Amino acid sequence: MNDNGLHHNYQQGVSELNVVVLENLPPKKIFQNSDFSIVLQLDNQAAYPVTNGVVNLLGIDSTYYDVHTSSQSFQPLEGRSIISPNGDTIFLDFDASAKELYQNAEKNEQNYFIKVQYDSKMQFSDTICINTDLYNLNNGGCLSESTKSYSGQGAPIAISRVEQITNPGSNKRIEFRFFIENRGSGKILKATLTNSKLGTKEMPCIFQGMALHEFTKVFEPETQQVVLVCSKEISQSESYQTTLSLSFDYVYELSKQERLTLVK
Amino acid sequence: MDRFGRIGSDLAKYSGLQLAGKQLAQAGKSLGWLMVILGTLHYILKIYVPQFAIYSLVFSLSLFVLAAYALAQRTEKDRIAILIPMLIFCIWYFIFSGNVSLTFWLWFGPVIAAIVVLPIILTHGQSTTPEVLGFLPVLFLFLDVGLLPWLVQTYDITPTILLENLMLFMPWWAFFGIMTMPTDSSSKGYTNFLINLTRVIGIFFIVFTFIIPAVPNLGHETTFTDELPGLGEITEASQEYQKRAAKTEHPFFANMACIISDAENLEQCLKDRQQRREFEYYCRFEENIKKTSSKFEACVAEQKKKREKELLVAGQSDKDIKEPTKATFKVSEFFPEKQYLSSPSESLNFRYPINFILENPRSQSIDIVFSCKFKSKTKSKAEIIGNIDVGEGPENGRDTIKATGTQTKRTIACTPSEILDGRYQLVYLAEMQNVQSGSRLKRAFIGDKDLEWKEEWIDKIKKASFSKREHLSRGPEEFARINFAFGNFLEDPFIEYKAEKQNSLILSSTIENLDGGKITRIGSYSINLLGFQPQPGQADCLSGFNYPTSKTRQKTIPLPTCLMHKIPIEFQNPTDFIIKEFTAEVIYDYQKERSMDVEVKKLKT
Repeated sequence: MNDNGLHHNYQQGVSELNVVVLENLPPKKIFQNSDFSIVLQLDNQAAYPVTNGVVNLLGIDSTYYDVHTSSQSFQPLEGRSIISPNGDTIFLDFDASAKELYQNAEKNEQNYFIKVQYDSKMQFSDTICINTDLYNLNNGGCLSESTKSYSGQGAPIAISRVEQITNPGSNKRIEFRFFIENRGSGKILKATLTNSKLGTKEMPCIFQGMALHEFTKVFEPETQQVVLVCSKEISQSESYQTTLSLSFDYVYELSKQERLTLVK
Repeated sequence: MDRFGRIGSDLAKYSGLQLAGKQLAQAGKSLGWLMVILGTLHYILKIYVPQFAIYSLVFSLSLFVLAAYALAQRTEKDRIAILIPMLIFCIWYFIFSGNVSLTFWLWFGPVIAAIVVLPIILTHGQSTTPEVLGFLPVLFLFLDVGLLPWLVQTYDITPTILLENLMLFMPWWAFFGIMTMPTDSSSKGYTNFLINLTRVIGIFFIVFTFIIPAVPNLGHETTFTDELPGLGEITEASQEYQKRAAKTEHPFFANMACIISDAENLEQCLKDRQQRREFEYYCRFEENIKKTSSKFEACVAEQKKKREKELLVAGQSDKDIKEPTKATFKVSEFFPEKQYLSSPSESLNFRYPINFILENPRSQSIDIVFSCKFKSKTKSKAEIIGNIDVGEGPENGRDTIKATGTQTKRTIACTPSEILDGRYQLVYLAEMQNVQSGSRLKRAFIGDKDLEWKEEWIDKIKKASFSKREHLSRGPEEFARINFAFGNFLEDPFIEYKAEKQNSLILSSTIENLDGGKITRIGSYSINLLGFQPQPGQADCLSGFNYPTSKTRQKTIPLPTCLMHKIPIEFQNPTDFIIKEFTAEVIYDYQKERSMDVEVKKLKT
């Protein structure tokens, strides 16, 4: 298989911004009254750029540590593509000083959180068959699929399944149900539908349970999935193949727990 | 063996129960069964008759010898071969004081090897098994005199429920008896019945006392050194646990009662019964109220009420502080328990030494005031004051030293101020003055967050920061600990702040006596909540001086509780959340005591 980057489709599967604390930064054991750094590696493995990124260190007790700046924003990171197969990577350095242990305690262990919030986008595109002439079994055209599954679009937010419902008759109409879900390690805060087209024509869509012109869906932490329903009138009687495309902007949040150990 | 049988038979004959006596005599022929009976008697006397303590070791050693015979009978092995390792052990432990030095073992080792190997050669290996079995009674002797409590104290093991119950309630020799009872008695009728009944009772005892309370708390981790304790040292550790046993209901009875009455809430039922027993002990022995008195129930109810109030501000041991400040009296090998004097006036010159060790890892400036007294055990006479002189200029029989460095070791000697004659309880007292102990408490300030945020983050924060019961304050296991808690709800580590509401936080604290001595003075206490403001007139909840104490062994002293109406601005509405640790300190005087039995006798001329 040729996987030199030129033929690779980055907009598939699930990939996201990876956040890693560098080995020994901070050290596994931090000495009292010493300076140290928490260095994070942010590696954009998604197929789309990450913008408006902010990293916050939460829950570090100021009794034991003085983190000079616990919040840092970071520059936009390009996603993986033919011209940048590895995606952009940056390192963020949080300088901190350790204070003293309580009385004659031998150590102090405390967990803290790294919270990363960023904006990104996701695009869905596929070639589908539109066939409103359901009763003519031998029309010689393409066959439409009522359900189609997807591995992802190269982002943590993914369209996992599309259902196609064709309404034959005089008012020919086609309806698509997009099952959108979070497959990444964080959570979707909100997602905005920025584009929906069938072929070259706009296709009206609505998030399930929302009003017609509300294009932004705010996600709750517990329910990280939604169904987007799009429909379009079809004038053509013969079956044909066309492209179905959607674009989203979304805000995503990652949090991971780490530990600091202060020793004598 | 037959003699025991005969005694049982004769007894029954004279009381008109000849048949039952015969069966008892038959059972008496099983030394295992006899060990169960004598072991149980020894256990009951040891736990419930304090006066028996001095004879306990003699009884235990007698059972040790009997154990060899029982083992020989049960295994049908040569009793002499079983006695060989026991004898070797006795010589090594009692005559050579358990010497472990290399030079000693260079000659002692080959000698005992020869004694052990010779019978094996002569019997063509048949005496190997009984010789190995001979170490079993040795192990049980150690267990009976307090090996487990000694290990727990010396190696700072946190005992599990199983271990604690083994230390407090295990009749080791009776258990040995059960192990050595015949499995298929050839005797008939009541004899067999008696042996089997004993075994069944034994199994029930073990199940209800150890297995039910222990599951699933088995096991612990620790490290051991190669020091060998003296028998006195082991017994000393055991005494501490026996005192505790008296305050606790025996798990056998507690479990039986709870299984019958409230099996569904077994854990709570056991807890309630043990708590009630503790309150009863306090009312009976600390308050001197008779159980039949009408005041008794009122006293128990009052103690219960107090405990409920105190529970609100429980604390826990700080596992990060491995070296707490602690003091111990250690009895010297030269301690003269018995004195034979030609003239009673000689006792006036007699010095009773004891070693005192203060572990002071934070090098605190602590004054230690020593004193002693002799309480007569034979006469109803007032106590005799003793004089302590440690060379620092004694005053009124007391002497004071200043703790220096991280460890202070002194041998102090007590001299009676009056002539001694008879048996006394010598009480040594050491009052540590101006001891400082601290605690810390973690809280999470979350401001005014919506339900979604709480659903997502509360559990995460709990797991990350409060998983080890860290919602409670933590302090080292020293003489005393200040426990404190504050929040919207005392037990809840999450503190919310809603701008439109009155945001009062409740603060409560106690001083807990952890070391079995007396808190004789609370010089000061302070809870360091910088920026928080209590309601007017309630500032004494944050700090105070010379707080009254009852000078008793009161377990918990409640400090003033208050409401705080001002929360520092940085904690009011953080973007996410803030974790912050707060501290509290108490400065106090603490008195520890150690009692020894002494006897002064006139020499007969």
